[in-house]
Amino acid sequence: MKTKILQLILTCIILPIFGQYKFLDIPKLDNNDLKAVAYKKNPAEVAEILYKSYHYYITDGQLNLDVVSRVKIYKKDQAEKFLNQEIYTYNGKNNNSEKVTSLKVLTYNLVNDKVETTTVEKNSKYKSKESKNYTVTKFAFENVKDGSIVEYKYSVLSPFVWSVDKITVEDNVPTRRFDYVLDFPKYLGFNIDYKGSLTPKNRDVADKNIYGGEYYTYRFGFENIAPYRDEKYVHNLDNYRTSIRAELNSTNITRTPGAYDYSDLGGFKSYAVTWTDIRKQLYESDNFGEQLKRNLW
Amino acid sequence: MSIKTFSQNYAISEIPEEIKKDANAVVRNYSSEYTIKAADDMEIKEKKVISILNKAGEKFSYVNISYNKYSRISDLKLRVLDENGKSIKSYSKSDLNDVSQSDNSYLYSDYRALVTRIVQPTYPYTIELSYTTRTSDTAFLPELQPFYAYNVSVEKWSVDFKNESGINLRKKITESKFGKIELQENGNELKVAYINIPSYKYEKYSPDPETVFPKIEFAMDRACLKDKCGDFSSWQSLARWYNTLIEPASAITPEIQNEVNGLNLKGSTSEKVKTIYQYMQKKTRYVFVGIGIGGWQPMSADDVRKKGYGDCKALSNYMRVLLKAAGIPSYYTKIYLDDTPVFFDENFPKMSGNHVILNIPTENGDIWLENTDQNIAFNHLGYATRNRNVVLIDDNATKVINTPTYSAADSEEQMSVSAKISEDNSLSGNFKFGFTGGLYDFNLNKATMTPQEMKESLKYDLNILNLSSINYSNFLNDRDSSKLSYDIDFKADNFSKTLGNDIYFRALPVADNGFYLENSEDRKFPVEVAFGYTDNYEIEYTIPKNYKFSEIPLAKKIDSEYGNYSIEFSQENDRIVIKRKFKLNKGSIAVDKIPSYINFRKQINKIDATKILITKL
Repeated sequence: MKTKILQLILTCIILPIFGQYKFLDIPKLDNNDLKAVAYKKNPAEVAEILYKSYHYYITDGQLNLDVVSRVKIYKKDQAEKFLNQEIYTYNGKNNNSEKVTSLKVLTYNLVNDKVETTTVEKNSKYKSKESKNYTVTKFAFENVKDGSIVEYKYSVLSPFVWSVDKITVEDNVPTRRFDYVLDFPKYLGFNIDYKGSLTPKNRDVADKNIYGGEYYTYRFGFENIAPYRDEKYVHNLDNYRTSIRAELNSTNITRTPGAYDYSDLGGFKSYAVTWTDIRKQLYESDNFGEQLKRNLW
Repeated sequence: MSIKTFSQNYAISEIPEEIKKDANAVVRNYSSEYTIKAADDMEIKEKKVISILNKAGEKFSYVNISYNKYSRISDLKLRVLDENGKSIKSYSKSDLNDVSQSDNSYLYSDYRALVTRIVQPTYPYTIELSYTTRTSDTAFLPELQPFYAYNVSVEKWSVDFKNESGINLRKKITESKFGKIELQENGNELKVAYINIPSYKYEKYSPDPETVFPKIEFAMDRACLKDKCGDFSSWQSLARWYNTLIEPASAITPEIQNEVNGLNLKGSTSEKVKTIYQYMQKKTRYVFVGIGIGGWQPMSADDVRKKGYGDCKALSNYMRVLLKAAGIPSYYTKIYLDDTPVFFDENFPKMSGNHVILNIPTENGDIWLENTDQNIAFNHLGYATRNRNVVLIDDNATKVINTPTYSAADSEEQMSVSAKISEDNSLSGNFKFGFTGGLYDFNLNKATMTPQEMKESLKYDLNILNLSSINYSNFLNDRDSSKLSYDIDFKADNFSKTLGNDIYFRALPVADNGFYLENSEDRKFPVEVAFGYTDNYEIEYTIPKNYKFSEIPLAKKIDSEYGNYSIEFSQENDRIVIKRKFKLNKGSIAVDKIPSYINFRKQINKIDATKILITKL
């Protein structure tokens, strides 16, 4: 795993960084995009992702995620995938749950050369408790026509800092810009598992002084990503898409000891997982060990 | 029989021999005891005992108890019994998973379920489940039909009613040779049961089991749904109740009036309806949200206008309100959407139907609108909504009427082919396809395909040809005349076969319709031809210059009660033209007639396989 980090840093040096790319800078809504009736390079495209970003950052022992998605719809009847959306969140024990906040859902249309915005009201965003552990927040974009631009933004606040989702980069329609950012304090260590054939055009892997502390930041910016579509005899397309997955490998938190304080002062802890750890986790899991204990089988 | 049930002995050895044949599972005792306390208060004690006999029966070991905000589950007991009927495991309510029942086709629904899967390493075993539901919904009473699934037999399946409400409880029995009902009535108590129903195997081309098994239905003259109560004693009173759900959602707001005014409607009623309909289709998409009464009450028309989406109720009602704003009256229409037609009984009103369409009476006949499809033609009902009756909801003029019947001639596939045979055994040329009626419905999904998907789909349709290239053009979904058409340019390898100086090839470049059925002594169900159609093919082959036709096949004609078939061959110089017409009639073919039907189809398959021989000069 360490060598992997090294590789990433090395390739970073080799790849030149062009100009001053601003990550997470949401582009201004362009009237030309609203006017467009078809994707230029291939008029058969049903939609185009104009901008998508995932920003993970850890502050105060919490994992924050900000998501922004802006999609141009060329053919509404064939682009249903982009029109009805679901956000899955995990509910843990003792109220340790992921929470969706500040969900904004907008549809932009050009009416008489003016931008008309339709917002999904609170009572049309649905929260459904799918099972004990999962809640889904669902919404459907409103007033969608051929040519609309649909946009959503939301944040997730999570106590599970070790659980950063795997993010896949390519979609089955073209993507104009895609940003991935992970900021974490230096006392945490993450492995970045980067898979796939796509090379980020913009890359910034460095230590930075942000959020009032010492941080590492991993930033990958992609531009003009070709669509990645299902082909015959591919069982799981996601295995081939470019993906980024961050995995917590260690913490290094040290307390200042008080007088006569003999308890654990912290220090470096590795979370590199062994098979023994996995066995322990499985036995503690509700869906495995707990069921075995109850002797339901 | 009843003694066994009382003693609760669920040992596998107690299963009567005659219902063990072909059974992977046996419903030992499925009983529902309804106590109707009032129009909005009902208690149901359910008991379900099912024996899983082998691995194939394991799919029936799922426990799924659905509930909603208006019902409460209590006294849940779940046990697993071994072969001898001895309890080996027991579960409580907290062992079940509480999950949402909204699947992918819903955006949101408030239906939930308690579910689990029983896993037992050895067979046979028996699952015994019992629980009590208390609900304020009485609009949907059970429909008892002794068919659980294919390869599952039924030892006893019963429903008991104890009607303490004083409200008239109606029943309707539909008889069939697949089971006899046992019925006991005593004052306000009613007990019905089906006993020892053997298991049935799935049979090819058989109709929906729901339409062949006997059944008993129940309905109350006064009932409630999600706290809304009404008089259900006649279709008229039921419709009036239904209208109290629809009317609040049907206001013509100034914005809706503006929408209609902006359409500049002109011409006949039909032309006006078409303009509004196509406007509505373009504007909306199908999204289902069901909360509380929302499964029955449409979302308000003005909300549909704002959001641009809705389910069948919301979209149909929005369309109805648009028409109303244009001064055109129309009916909100309840229907059963199903491949095999399901009917409403004019004399047995009850809450039913699973879909909503619109009916617009005009001076030139009725217009029917399916409002959930953005691409379907105007005044065209899909094959799953034709040939059946519907209930028109109206405060005063509710009626049960029929949707259009489409004859075999109405559903036509026109195919004309012009192709060249080459000496290298390849075939190249073009197809022209046209589809109407039910075949229009089957091909309508092509209207939303990307060019890549369309190509894949055509390759699949023509997979009998060894295609090396295929391109399509002139795709047209004619939404005025319900006709879908496209042309194909293609090249296929290894179409013909060389035999010395001869080449031979199939008279039909495409597959026959894949009918295959063997005669069986055992056949229990009729063969259903769910809808009739006509194939109209014209094929022209040009042969290589230095070849001549050896022999021209003879024309053939078959006429039967099942349909009509004819094929003709005409040759001129280096060309042969083949005209094939096949009409299959819609219908249900009784078991004793199946051999003659198979014979009819086999004869046609054989003629379709005719080969044409050409020889080198």
